[in-house]
Amino acid sequence: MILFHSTVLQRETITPDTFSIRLSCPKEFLQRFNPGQFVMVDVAVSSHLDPLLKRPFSVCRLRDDSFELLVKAVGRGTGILQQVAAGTVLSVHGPLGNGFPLATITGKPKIMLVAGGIGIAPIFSLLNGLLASGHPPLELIVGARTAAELLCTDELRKRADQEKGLQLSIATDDGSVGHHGLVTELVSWQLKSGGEKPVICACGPLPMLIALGKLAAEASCSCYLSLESRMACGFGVCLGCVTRKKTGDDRHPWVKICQDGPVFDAETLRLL
Amino acid sequence: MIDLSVSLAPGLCLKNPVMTASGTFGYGREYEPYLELDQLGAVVTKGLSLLPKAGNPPPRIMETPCGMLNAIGLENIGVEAFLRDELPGLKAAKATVVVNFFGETVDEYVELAGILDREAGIDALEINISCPNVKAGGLQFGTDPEMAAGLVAAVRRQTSLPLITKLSPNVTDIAGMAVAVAEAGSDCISLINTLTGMAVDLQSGRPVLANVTGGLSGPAIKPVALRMVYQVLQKVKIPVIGIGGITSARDALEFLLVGATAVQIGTGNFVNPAVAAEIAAGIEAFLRERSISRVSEFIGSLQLPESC
Repeated sequence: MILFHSTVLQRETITPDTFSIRLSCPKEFLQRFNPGQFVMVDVAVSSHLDPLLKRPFSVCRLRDDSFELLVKAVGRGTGILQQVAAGTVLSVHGPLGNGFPLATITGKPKIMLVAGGIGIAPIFSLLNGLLASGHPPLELIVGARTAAELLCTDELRKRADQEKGLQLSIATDDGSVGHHGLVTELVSWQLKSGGEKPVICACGPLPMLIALGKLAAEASCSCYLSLESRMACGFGVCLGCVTRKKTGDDRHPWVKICQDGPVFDAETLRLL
Repeated sequence: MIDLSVSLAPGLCLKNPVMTASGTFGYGREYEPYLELDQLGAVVTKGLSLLPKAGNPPPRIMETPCGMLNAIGLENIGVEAFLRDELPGLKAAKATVVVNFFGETVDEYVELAGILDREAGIDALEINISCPNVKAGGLQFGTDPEMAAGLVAAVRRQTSLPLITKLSPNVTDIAGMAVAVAEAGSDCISLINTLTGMAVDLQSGRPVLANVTGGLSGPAIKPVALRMVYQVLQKVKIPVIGIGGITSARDALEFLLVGATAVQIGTGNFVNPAVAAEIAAGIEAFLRERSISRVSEFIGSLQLPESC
């Protein structure tokens, strides 16, 4: 993990409340990065120390000299980033945490990638990593509340057309495109349809991740979940982002999302 | 060459006045990718208890204007794991090590002080009598001068290590607390710990933190901390360590100007993990610019109006 000053190279509106932001970075960052890792980004762009804390974001895509975040504006920090001008210099810390275990998942007969809403960000970077390095058959399932909130779908469709081993399914809560319902329903059908047991890699709202963990356990599939949390530091010292592990005891009940995750084997967590 | 060294107690001389605040610096080695631990005045560890402690359930933190609330609840690995897994690395890094510790009873504090006293490589102890986020222990000792004095005296009898007592700001008479622990044998005083605070969520109609209340830290509390350091220095002769919202060399210098012998950097470490080393360098640059050859000449040089 490195601390560096980063220039905002581009910011692009994607939907009324989501945007992408491209940030410059040193080569070393690109070399160290694994899909699923995150960065802490300073958002005190106009007023020193306010907001005080950096914000954690999964990296969505690497470029030659930069990386891209896909961000949903939900509060003050993300609202500031939504307005930030190209050329602004921000302090960035990363890459942080553990990404998806690439060696493990590419060894499986099939990979199922599942993204809900803004959870597409780390799944997109994982997809790019897998497409670049050779992979078993890929099943990509993305969902959102409505068609207008689906992210990256044009690009994902293009990939699916180009790549033989990649199949794309879409679900929306309101049925405006794809399956009318939840991504977890698509996953459940796939798992019940027989064939090779996939490894599942997912990011999205917590109820979705909990449901996927259960489906995977019932089907005896490996399942890796990318979690999010408020964080003050992002590197394991503030202890603000803990979540309960399955095998913990009264004195050691937690894992840190920032340092032990953000990607976890679903088997190791007790998310409820 | 600027002399940045400060003395906190017989046998406790720091190479510069910049320490880290307990609970914001892990056990020290987490920061090795960002700075040299031996470039700091001292590393103060996360508060240790006799046995590992789980702390509070999440959510544990919330950002507030120019600050943050936390209710970690003193989660720590326990003294045994610290001595086995963490202390050797701190020694290898040649860090000056201050161990922060706490208990729920006087007996627990005393037992822990005894264990730490026997260990080579610990340079000083900091008694935490002031964590606001635990139900038992901590805070009661921190708000009652007689209980605080009794505790410090009991720990004092158990160890010959330099003893720092960390005070809570959540009291009416901070100077009274300082006098009580100084008379009980504390070698120095560090202040302030976090101010108790609260955040609520209008959307859900619930408190944000699972613990309901938490401790406020960060730049928002710096004026309170400066005032309390000032008030304590009116009443005690022992060295005082200033803590509260320090994120720059200027902030640190303000505490030194008021009379703090050293400072501790807390929440600032989360925002910029290299900040403690940058502050030490910034203090040196400031003194050089002013042609002040020793930091000790600057400490306490505050010019008060004549009516004070």
